[in-house]
Amino acid sequence: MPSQDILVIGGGPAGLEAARSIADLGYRAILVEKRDRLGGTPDEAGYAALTPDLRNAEEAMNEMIARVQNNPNVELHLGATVVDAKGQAPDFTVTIKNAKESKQVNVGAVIICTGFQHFDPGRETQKYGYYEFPDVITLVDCEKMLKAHRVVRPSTGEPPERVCFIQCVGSRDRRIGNEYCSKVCCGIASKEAIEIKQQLPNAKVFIFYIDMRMYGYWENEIYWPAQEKYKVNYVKGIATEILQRDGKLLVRGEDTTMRRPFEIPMDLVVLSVGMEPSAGTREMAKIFGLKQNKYKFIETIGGALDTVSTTVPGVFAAGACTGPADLEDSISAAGLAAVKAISTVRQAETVKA
Amino acid sequence: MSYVPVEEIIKSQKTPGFKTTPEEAPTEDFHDILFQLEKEGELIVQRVPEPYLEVPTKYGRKKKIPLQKTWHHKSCGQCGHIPGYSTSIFWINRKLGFDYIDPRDQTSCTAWNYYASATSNAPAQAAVAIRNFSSAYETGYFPIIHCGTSFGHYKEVRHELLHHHELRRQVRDIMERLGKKLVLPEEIVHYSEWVYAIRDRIAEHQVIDMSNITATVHPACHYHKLVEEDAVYDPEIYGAQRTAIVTGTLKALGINVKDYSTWFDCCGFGFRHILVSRDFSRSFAVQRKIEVMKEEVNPDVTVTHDTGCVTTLDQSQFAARAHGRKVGIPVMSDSQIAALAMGAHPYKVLQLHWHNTDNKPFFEKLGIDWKKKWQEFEEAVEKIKSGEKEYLTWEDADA
Amino acid sequence: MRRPIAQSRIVRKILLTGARITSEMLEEKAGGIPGGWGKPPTARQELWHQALPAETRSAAEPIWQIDPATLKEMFFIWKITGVLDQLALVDPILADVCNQILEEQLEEAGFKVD
Repeated sequence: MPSQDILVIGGGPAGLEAARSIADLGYRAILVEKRDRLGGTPDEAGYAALTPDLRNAEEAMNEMIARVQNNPNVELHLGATVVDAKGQAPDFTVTIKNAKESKQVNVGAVIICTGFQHFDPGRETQKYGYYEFPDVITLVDCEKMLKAHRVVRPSTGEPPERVCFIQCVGSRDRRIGNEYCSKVCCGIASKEAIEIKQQLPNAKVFIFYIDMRMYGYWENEIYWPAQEKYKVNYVKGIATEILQRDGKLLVRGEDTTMRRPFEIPMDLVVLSVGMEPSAGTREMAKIFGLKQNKYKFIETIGGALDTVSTTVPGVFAAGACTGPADLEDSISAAGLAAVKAISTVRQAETVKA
Repeated sequence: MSYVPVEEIIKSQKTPGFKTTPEEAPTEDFHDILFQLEKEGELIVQRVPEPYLEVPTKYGRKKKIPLQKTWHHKSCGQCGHIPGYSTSIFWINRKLGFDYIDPRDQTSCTAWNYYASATSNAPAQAAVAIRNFSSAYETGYFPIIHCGTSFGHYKEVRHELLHHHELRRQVRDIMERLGKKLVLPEEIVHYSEWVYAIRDRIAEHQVIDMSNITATVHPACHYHKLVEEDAVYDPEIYGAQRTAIVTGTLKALGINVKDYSTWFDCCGFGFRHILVSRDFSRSFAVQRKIEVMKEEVNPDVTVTHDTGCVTTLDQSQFAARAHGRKVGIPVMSDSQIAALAMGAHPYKVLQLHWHNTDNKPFFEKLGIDWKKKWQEFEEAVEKIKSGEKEYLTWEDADA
Repeated sequence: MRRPIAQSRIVRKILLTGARITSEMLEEKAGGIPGGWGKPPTARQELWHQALPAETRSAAEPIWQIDPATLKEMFFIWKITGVLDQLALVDPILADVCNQILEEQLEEAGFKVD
């Protein structure tokens, strides 16, 4: 039977915003999240501050969660996943499973917000030694340190004197099959570089980059302050390998401005890992029969003017499950997906009447 | 703010190591296309003979390695540089009782010519490859490639053939005129993968203790940098972060493998360089490889698995030595080290007299009386010289 | 003009030494490498080639043995895929010599090249 309820899959920023928008407009959202708590990747990975405004991530996510958690128009399923879907808009029958039981729900439209996962630097074999050297970490690991106010070398527990970021790890790389730019890493690395300087004013911080992609206002909000106020050194050129020597990490690469190779000792190396579709994104694409692009992100079919419609009518996708996205993009797309999902169930209601 | 042990959290996160998952492989599985084309009658696929062994590859897929019934595609650079590289492979086969063919119906892959001079083209290279594969298929024995270059090149040829209908048609036409078929083996196997796959068996037959030996490894560029997805990567060795080839074999023999910072670099051979700019090759081999190993590890031996790498690393040290530089690391293939561990004769089988760098200290450390062994070889050569024997036979080699 | 040197070395060797790129490195005439064995052991090399247990050893030649018919099959492939035409673009004299050898051999083997 056609339903006016809307299923939202994923309780991260996009899912929370979609559920809230649906509820605010007087419809009912059924929100399914596989973890036992809401907040998505910012919560799971322990982000310290949001990009670009450096707002406390926990505080910001708690606000989003509060709008959904006790909302009478939102039915929450935590620790649950969607395991099956049948039917078509506005009459989908979806099976939701948790540790104890399976339950079928009838919904008129679906919004998928299953997001991304961070690139595993182990796949960049032979280059950066993430699993080999304790002092090679990722942006995500660095967020944890910043949040705890303990930026240290994992090998010694001591604060580093020299830190560098290596950009485009798992992005813009044909060899590993990820030719795309992950959009956010330049901004996040610069933001983390600022935070490191705030916490360790004497540390020297470097960023090795192909080109810095600072979208829109990020240029003024992060890039210039990082250089001018916090004295972060930006070096154009990609680091090609990391070695361990005399208790330090030796970063080798090529400075493409100076046109010469470099070898620089570092205490801590942060790999700016990019985005890949999460396991949930790949799974939902399969269950709902959605077309995926070559990188396995869910493909949206509306080009620039409709960023949320998928190949299946009534199923929408928002946020980083459709490709690399920053928070601003994800939240905007979630609102749009909510409107389009409501429009789908309303049209069905009108036709029926 | 409360204390958070972030370093412990991050370390424990890394502890399980990197997990390869075939689903996340950035490349297609060529088998899917290979078997589809076989179904469509476009080509014949020669299956890996049973019983085969399986080894893990870069993205967590499995590669089948034949145990025996192998057809040995020799390297055109070995015969005059390091023939013991091949004789050691054959000797191991014989010692383990494996059936194999050392064919005469095999040509050079001609890839060196192709890469270094560009006077060849895709149909020519593919036809030479398929002629060789077809010859192997006719014998019922499975091809195993001795040379890193041929191995890498054949995998590139396979890629081209699987994706280009027109090239398949051209090659099929040429094969027809030669009375042959378009045959591709189910796997393109490098001999060092076979050595790796049977390393435990080799270790079971080990008669020389090598636990006091320290070695460095040079993985051949054409082994792990060309069509890299079906090179051996094993979570047990380097956490699957670099190829396990050679290193896994040496570890099974109890050898202490040590790391050096330029392991990823080329040996210096570099194709064109060795031909048109040999001094560059020599300098690179010495300065970027041998001297770095010497300074960082000071190994007893360095081990690799390609013709060009063994010869370049070995035969580049003489000039530096003349200039009083810090060189002098014996260079061998994994097949030579494995055969030696199993008791093969250093000159009759390993043919180490063709090698250039002084390896006597290495033998002395192993407790092998190289003077006695050299005398045995000289006696065998005398018999050939006097006409008493025409060749050195396998029986002579073990005498 | 370095390229022709490179290719003439390889093409000539593959053609004239039995489809093998062979070593000259130990030979005195090639400006060889006096290694751990003192003087270049050119005289002994012929014997060393016979002192190899591999069945495809080739007495007196630094090559693996190859069937003449196999070699001609490879010549045939080179001829009809235009490898020698490509060679002619960079080294016409060498290409002429190679062509002559190839044509004789292929005719002898009964291959039609057109």
